[in-house]
Amino acid sequence: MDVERFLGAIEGNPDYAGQIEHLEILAERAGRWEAPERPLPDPIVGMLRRGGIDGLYAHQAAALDGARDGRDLVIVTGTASGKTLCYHLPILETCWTDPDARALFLFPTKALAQDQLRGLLERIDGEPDVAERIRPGVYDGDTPTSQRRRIKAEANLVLTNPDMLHASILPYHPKWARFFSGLRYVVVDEIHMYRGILGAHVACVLRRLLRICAHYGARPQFVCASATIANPGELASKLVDRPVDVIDDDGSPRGRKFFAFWNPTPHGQDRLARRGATEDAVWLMAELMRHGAQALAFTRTRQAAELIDRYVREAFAKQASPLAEKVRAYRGGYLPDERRKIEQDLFRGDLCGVASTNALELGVDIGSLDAALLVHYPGTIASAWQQAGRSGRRCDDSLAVLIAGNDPVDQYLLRHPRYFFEQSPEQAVVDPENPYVLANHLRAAAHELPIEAASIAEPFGAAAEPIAGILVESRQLAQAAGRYYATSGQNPAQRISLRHMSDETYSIILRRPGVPAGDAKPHEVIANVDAISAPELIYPEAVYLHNGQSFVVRELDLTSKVAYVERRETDYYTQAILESNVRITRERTRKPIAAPASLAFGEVDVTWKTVAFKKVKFNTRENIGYGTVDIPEQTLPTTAFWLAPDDDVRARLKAAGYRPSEGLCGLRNLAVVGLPMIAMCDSRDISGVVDSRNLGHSAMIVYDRYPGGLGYCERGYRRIEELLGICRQLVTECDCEEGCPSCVGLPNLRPAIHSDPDLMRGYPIPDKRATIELLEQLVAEPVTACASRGAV
Amino acid sequence: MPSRPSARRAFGMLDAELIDRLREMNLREPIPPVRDRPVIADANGKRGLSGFEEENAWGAYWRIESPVEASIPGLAADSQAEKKKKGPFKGPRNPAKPRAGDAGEGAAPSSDEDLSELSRRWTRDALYVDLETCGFAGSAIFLVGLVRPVDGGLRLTQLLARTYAEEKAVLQALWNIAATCGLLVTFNGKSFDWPCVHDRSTLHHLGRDPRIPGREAGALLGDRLGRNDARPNPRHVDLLHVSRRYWKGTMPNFRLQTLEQRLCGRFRIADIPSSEIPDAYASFVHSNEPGPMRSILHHNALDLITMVQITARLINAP
Repeated sequence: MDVERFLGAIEGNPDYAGQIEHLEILAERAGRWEAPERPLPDPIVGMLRRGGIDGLYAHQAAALDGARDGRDLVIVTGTASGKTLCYHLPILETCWTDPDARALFLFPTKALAQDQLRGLLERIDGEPDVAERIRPGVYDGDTPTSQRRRIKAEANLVLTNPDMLHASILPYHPKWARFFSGLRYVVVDEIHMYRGILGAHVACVLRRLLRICAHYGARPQFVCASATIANPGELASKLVDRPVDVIDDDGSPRGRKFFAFWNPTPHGQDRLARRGATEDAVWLMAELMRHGAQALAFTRTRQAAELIDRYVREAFAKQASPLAEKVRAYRGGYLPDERRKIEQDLFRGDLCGVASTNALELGVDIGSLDAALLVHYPGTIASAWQQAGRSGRRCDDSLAVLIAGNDPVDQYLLRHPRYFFEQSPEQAVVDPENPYVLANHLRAAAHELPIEAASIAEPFGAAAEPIAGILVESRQLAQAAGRYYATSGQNPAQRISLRHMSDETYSIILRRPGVPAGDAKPHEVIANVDAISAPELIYPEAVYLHNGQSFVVRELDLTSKVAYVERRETDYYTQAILESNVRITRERTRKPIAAPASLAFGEVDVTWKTVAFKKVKFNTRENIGYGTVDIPEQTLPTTAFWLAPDDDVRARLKAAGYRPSEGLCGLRNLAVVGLPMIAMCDSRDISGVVDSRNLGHSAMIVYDRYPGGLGYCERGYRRIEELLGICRQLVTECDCEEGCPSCVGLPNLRPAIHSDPDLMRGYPIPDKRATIELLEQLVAEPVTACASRGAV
Repeated sequence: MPSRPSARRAFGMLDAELIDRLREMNLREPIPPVRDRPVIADANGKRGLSGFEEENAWGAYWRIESPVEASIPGLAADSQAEKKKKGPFKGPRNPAKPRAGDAGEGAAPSSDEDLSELSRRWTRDALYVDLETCGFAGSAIFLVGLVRPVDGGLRLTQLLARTYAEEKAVLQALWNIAATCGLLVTFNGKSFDWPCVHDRSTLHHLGRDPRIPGREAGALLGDRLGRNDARPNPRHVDLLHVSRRYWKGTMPNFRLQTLEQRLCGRFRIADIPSSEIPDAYASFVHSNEPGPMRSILHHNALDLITMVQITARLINAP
């Protein structure tokens, strides 16, 4: 694609009013090829040639050599750099030579495993010699029972996800005895996903895996792959509990990339009000498609993806353009078949424009596109680069556009583009010895195989022994003959979810009243929604958008987890109005602290509920009515600490002309960023509010986003001085003048996460000086501790 | 550029308060630790279970031997004479009569291979097997109940793991007995009991799974079942499948207790429900109180007796 010409055309458009506020041109890079130390077997070379691969990029050769040397690896190269081949080569070679060799592939989602299976089959199909000896199979929750036995017995490459390994493979390891005894490689793809809570769980699952392998006499090697993060080597070695070689010398060629920062058109005189990012995304997407380009728009919410799809389609339909048929929406909740079809159509070029949530951010192979539109800043530097990386040809120019929203963070990036381009991507933090997580996995491990008490620290770390002792006391394990045994016959893994919340889903069922029998099914499942999002998307009378069409929700059955919808073309869509509350239910403990504030730790209920909805007219965004919603609230019972500054602190702030609650908001935002450094979690694992209803005066409440809590806020409670010190350091050392996303600005609280973000009021960046003033009073001593500035 | 995992945090770094919290979260009644070598009978042998401790290459376990008759309700020891008149097994009060042609499309009962094997072997070298486990699939086996012909009568043998640590010895004992049998008889054992025995044996590296082709290996067992000895692989008749073919359409369902009621006219009173067995075992392991274990042993014996009686009905034994 000729990006310069395209940008020229945009700038020549009468609607253009200087929206491109910054254009960064990332230079092209030549490819570097290298030969591995020993050549690959002829049939594999033949297979590669057939697939158009005549040589290996430097990183692919390095990965092959490293794997052959028996080392554990993590590969960190750009999108579309041929990461997959890095682990395919050593595995295909090994399995081609040794019929007893096995390999396990872990992907964070089922969709990725399917995509990888397809890619693998395509790769080997042309070469009968190889295809005969490589028998891959996907084994996950969707695998029909009839195929499971065959895959266990015959597949030498098994593709699955950590959840399945945890709940349905490891507990039944005798049925996989042959597989585990031959296991030579474990591929862990997209490891940057495994941080925080999920990371702690996955680390424990991998320790269990290694223990089972050792039981069958195997010691597999790990090949991990990661998107660009600050510390891939550290993350990988913590996950797999071994030193890991980092391979990040990307040898793939790259065309020039234009990265534009786009500020939507201001409305008239009022410089503060702008068009929605969605509207400008529609315009840019349509222009790109007219220029023959393939474009992907990443939106922050599901509704936004649907709206862009709809508007682009309408724009083309008005002109009777065939391009109207070449645009689609893509997001979580679509049924697997529908998703597969979109991915394939995009890959083949049958689709030219797709509006997607971050569901397409992961490595599903959709080929390389010409342009990526980031509609709103996705929230992290790593995620932004990952999305931008979805455009980019090997030798051609490509375009990425960050279309800013009205959010203060988005606007900050527009004002400070260097901040974005110079900021290192986020650190991934993982704590394999989180006692709450480990306690659960020790139970699961003992169920799989009695744990030798004397060497429990070998696989599970020093924390395991005291935790096992507690489990024995509480009768969840039994100690006999020097081993820990499971006491319950139930597979404990089935009750331990690796993810934040439940993985329950609601089905959306289309009713076709009055359809003559035989014409179409009277009922049909058209999509799914996870239980957490359901009240926000499919409350009664909601307009549910799917593939550009509108449906009205007639009934939401909470017991059978079904929403019945009817197809109806409305001229409006609906926006849920959510109420969210944090209620302190029990104080467990409190302690005096040096700071003039009270501090306590205990239990809270975090609730949220859709109480009403707005009807919003398509295109114009006019508000044309309200409705009430009567569905029960959702509750997350968890643990929290709360910090309330004393009256005189608040009085002094007021006297200095600051709003105390604003200072606390800034502190809350800092704490959510700073606590992960103490508690070894991810910022997504915790959250906080500033509230005065619970205590009668303003308090900051910070809680774990996991049912029952995982001890993160507990650590914050016990190390509050250190936490406040880190917060003060973060805010005073920040070079910004009035507050920025790195200090008081991030993260925003966004109760409605699936709605149209353009309709939402951005939360202001709290007053930095109010926050500093507050911290000066809370932290007596000058800054001494050296907090690293990582997890921003 | 290799990066090493950070040095493990020492135990001292694991916050003491956190441990307290974990404890608080999970703590129920503190219980005595499991004994490595549990004593089942007290000094006077009164409170305990009958049976004796036996030891093999993998350690000790508890073994209970008795003639089958001793466990049949209504066949008290003092009515031995009556028993002889009636034959060993009571017929049903209201037997469900198999209808002609019911025994399955195309396969008349008489030509059913399973049936002919049963009638040939059930008093010669059959081995009836019924397991009690700690829970669902994948969990440990703690009791193997067996019935087999010995010295012209049927003998009930129960192999019990008194703690979780004795499972391997129990399995070894099972394989030693299985090596002498010609026909394995179970109820739903093709999908549950027998795969479970194999899976748990695989877990303990006890012999090689004969269903998986591999190295040649002798089936000589004695007291050893090394990793490479093939486990015995006797012919297996699953009474559930035979019953389904034979009594098709005449039973509301084919649960063992339904057949027991319909065919043997026996209703279980005060029997421990299967669902409570795992918890009962857990409490036995921790308390060494024989009470709950007696109920489990009785339940297991009744299941086996029912299987023998179903066999008798199937082959029209007297």
